[in-house]
Amino acid sequence: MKLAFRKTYLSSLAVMALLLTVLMAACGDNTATTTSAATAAATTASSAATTAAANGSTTTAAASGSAAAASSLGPIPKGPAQINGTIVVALNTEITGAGSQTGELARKAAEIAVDKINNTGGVNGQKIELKVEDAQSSNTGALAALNKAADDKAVAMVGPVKSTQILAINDRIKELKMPALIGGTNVTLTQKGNEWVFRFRPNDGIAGNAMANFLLNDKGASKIGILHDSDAFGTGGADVVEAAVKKAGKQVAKREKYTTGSQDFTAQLLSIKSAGADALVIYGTNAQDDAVILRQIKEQGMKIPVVGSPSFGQTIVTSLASDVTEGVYVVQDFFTGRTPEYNEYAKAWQTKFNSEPDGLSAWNWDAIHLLSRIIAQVGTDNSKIREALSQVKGYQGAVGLFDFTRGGDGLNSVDVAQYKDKKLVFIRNVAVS
Amino acid sequence: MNRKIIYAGLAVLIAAILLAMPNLLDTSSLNTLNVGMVFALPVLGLYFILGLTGQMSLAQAAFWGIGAYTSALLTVNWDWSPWLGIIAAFFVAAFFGVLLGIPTLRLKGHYLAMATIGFGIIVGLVLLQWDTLTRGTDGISIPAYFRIGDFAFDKIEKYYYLLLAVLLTLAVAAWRVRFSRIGRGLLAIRENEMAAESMGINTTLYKVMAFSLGAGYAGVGGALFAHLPNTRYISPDTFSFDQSVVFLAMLVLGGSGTIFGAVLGAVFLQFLPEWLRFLDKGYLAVYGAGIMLIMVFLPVGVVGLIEQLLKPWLPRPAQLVAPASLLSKVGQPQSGESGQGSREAAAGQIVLEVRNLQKYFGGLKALDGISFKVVKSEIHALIGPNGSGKTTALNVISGIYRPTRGDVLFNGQAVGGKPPHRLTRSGLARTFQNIRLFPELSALENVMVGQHVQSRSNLLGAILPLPQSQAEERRIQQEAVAALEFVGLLDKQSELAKNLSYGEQRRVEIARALAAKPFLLLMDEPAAGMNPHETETLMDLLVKLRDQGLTILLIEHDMNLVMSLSNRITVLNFGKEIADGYPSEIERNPAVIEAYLGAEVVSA
Amino acid sequence: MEEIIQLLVSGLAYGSIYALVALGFVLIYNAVGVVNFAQGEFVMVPSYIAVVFLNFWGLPFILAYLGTILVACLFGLLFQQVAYYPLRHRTYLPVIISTIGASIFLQNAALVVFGAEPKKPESIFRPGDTFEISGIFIVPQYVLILVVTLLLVAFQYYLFERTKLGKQLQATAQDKTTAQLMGIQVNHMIIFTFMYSAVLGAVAGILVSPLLLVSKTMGGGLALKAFSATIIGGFGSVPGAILGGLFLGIAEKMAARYISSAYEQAFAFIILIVVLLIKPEGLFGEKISEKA
Repeated sequence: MKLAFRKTYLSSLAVMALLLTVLMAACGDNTATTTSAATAAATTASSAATTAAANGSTTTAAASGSAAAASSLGPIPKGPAQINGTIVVALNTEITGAGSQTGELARKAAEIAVDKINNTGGVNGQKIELKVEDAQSSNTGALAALNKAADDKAVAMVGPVKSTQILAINDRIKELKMPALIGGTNVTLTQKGNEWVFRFRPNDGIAGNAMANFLLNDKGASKIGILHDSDAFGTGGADVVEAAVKKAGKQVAKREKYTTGSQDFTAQLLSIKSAGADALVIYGTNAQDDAVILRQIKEQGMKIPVVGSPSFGQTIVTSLASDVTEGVYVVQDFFTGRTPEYNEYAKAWQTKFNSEPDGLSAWNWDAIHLLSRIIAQVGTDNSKIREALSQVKGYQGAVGLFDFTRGGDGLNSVDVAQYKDKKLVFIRNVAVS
Repeated sequence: MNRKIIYAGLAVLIAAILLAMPNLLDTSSLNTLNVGMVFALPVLGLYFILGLTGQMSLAQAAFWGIGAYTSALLTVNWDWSPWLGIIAAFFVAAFFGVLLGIPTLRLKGHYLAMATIGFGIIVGLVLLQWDTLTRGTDGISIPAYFRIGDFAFDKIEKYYYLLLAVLLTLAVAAWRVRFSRIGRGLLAIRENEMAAESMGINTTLYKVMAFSLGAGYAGVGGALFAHLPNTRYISPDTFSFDQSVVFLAMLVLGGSGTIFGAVLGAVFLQFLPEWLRFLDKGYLAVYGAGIMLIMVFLPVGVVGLIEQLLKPWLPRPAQLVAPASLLSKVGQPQSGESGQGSREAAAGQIVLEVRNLQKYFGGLKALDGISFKVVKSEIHALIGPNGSGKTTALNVISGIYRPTRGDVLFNGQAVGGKPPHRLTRSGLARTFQNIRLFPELSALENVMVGQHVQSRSNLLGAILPLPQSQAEERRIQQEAVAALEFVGLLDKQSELAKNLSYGEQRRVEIARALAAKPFLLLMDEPAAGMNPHETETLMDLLVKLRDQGLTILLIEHDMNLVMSLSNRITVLNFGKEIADGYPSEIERNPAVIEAYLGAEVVSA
Repeated sequence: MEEIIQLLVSGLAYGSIYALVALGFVLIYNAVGVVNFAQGEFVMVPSYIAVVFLNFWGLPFILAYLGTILVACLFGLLFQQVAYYPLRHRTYLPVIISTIGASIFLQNAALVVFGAEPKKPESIFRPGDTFEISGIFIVPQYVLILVVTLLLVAFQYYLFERTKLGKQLQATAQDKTTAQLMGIQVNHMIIFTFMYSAVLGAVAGILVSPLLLVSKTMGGGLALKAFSATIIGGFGSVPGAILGGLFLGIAEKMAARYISSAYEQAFAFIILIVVLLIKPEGLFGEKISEKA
């Protein structure tokens, strides 16, 4: 009796496993296969590392690389630094949990950056080893990931991208003296008196101001509706937009919020509609919410200008909402493809993953590239890396022109783009002083 | 002797490892351990709710969050010391536990699980949206450290010891609660709520208590989480429904019935993602499948399993023997409590009177106006064919059903409609037709639950080693042993109730009822399913009890037993009383014969 | 006024989805006395299957939808075998925990198989298209949802009240032991209930996935609200589940618009707790009789 039951149970498990496998085989472009391919590639890369040139020797490629870098970096001691062994760089990102979507893209962007550097001679002949530390989509997870990075002897950490996680680990970063190259956009992150934090994306203050100014000035709007996610990112952004609108002497018709993953926004949109808004700012976080909001705007017959936060420019939104994006403006960290540096990133992505590159994750690529150049010159000492980072001025990355001499914020402008025929086209760059 | 040395050695070794932990682990492992220890507190809280009381809660993360915000806001806004913050966190969370408990604990099972999910989601949204108080999505940074004089717990190595101290204290407190009268009451609710109620346990109150105690533990965990030295930051997204599920998984993994399991499960599950890193994105899938597999193959959890495996090697609890002075008193009604009249009262005193009692279930008249009197120190039998309303009568008398109409007078006081636990308190105990023991408790503990109304230690007495509560606990144990010896089961005291034979279970149930020292014992078919020998033993027992002065009202089908033991008999048929009198009268009563043998026999 | 009608329309559409999922809950509860906490995955899994059929294999709608329903049957069977059957003699607690485990497993298996990015299934109507009747915008998908739900409820009524299978299912739900004695294959009836519940989930998934998009978390929120709907309507009652679902759908939209959009996700539970307090048998349910 008992045996028979176990048999049923085990055979059912087997069937489930079989079904899973069939499903995995069924969809060719799924991520599971690409991930395993990526792991394979990483393995080959690291085995190549062991057979690489002896310690301290510099290949021609690396030497020329650092020479080229010198021109765009600040007053940093010239000449290649002596580096022993592989250089560990940690990526603090969300592999599991609610944020795994973004985390996966960040990892891809970081991987291709590391591959690129390692395949062109490494850093003064040494390979970079990327340690992906899972922040588990939680604050404690991000902290654990930071500690793990320290245990793994990482010279610097890229990420996290989520503002609350950065706030949660801010003290620990200081304590560990770990240069943190972050992607969180909450304005306050770089104002906590922590000199170890460097932001590689424009903060929400810049994006929010740009959104308001664009609608008021370029579109002649005077009663602006605001719809935003009630998480830290959306709320912070909406606050900036509201302040900017009021500062310009114009009116906020209605401000409405929603919880991430709400699935239906009819009530909020109707409320904004009946308040008579003549333009709409949407500060969203989650691509799925963004896509549904855009569809429902169209379903409600709303024909006012709409400008969305950077998340609306993600490739996922383009693919999920392709039928309803027409005419929507998007504020982006930067408009993809305007610089050769971005094209290089996009090419590396397409070669490795055979999919549309994710622009929003490109800052990971820049962070790792800038880091590798700095290490090539000052070595792996964390204080020297921090010092050198804070003197970077005029470094052209894929996402923009970096200047850290003003403080922890490397960028100060955003681009406005518009969906036309299911594609984003560049409208103009908006800088905020 | 040898064993004692081994145990002492083991204890020293474990203590040494625990104290040396910060030196044994690297920073990130120690950090994981710290977070695991913080999580162990809400999980311990869930142990009270699910493990002891058998109630489902998926709101632990909400209480955890309430605790974290309480302490954070008090220390940040009003400069309270974190020490006070932690105490406030306990009470505020416990208060919310009561608030949620009172309306929802009337609900059973699934409703309760659902209502707690709803509560958790509401709390999460309030933390997020009420930003004037909670600072909304920005979260709160907490500058204060725990301090003793100039010493600050500002490094995770130091914080580890603080956590260890708090966790050990609260785990020991939980342990003491488990083995107190309160803990036995909670377990009784888990094992059989109706029997618990009729042993005098106020089940609603106890459930609310377990709920708020669990919430309080979670609150302490929340406060310790808020002050973790290297974050000292909280934001609403941490306290989500998913986290409640994680707490549940931790408890289930370790073993919901053990304190050690709760702690170990929390720490273990916190380390698991580290060890399963190779699984990458698949980790949570494996974790989900693991929960299912544990439920199927390892319902007692990992620690539960280890306990079961180790059992043969652990020292058996010493066989307890009751003092002879107590043994002779078993079955004697309590003396003079709450003015209920004493044993010395005149013979012929009426203990129970039922007047024109009616109980309708919709249109069905289960009892249609019955009246009878039970005289002190007599055995009074209630008989009748199947479906005549005997058990309904017993259920109304013992408070399980409310009477539709009519009065029940117990020692001259109207008690109709009072809940069972109140009736037990005033001196009425019962056994059930289909035995309702607490199957996972030992025979001794079953009987000790019966002592509930004979003891008064509260939660504080359970946790703190107060002399009077310890003395009371000793008395409870001795009297329970005596009651077991009285029914001839002294040697089975540490056996689990579910492992006893049918006849033995019946006798444990009687011993349990006797432990309440009732004036009146209600017995629903005590001889059902017994073999002739067992029935014989039972009859001797009943006679002995009557001789001790106990009054017994019993329902029985065994006519031999009824006729040879009863002083008086009441006969019911179709909810009506058809005869009442001495056995010799009943035997010859034509109405009774007709009811039992059918109309044809009489008319023939 | 237009706005109220607009909210009513969308409330009814979402309410219908709640009702379908709620029906799945109630049927399983009546059959085996446990609440399936993975009911949301009964929506999520078939939705992904539909994406495979429609987007990856390019099957025509009819074939893809029929195929999805077929796979859903199989899924219901497997689920019953793995998450419920081994625990059928235990109390409800292990079953609740087991179905919670199943839910975590399925969501994350979906993550592993399909990746974190949500999917947009091919749909009959082009997203964003609406037709306007005197100022009210009506989404064709909403109409489809209402029509299909209506048909399905009618079909279910026929199945349960007019067929032998339905009678056997009802007998099983009321008293398993007696049903067994009457020669009904109780185990088969339970398996069938799980399969039918999965079909209801599949239909809900097919209908709603063009609106919500397909992701691993799409079912969770729906299931929690559908469960609230079953209690609000009267737990264990089939009409209660349907009415409760519709009521909740409308109430939620109205409350979000006229009370507070920030707390939209909480209203379902606030209503739930209020109903539990003042009318535990549900707005449309019969009084639960106590058993001793």
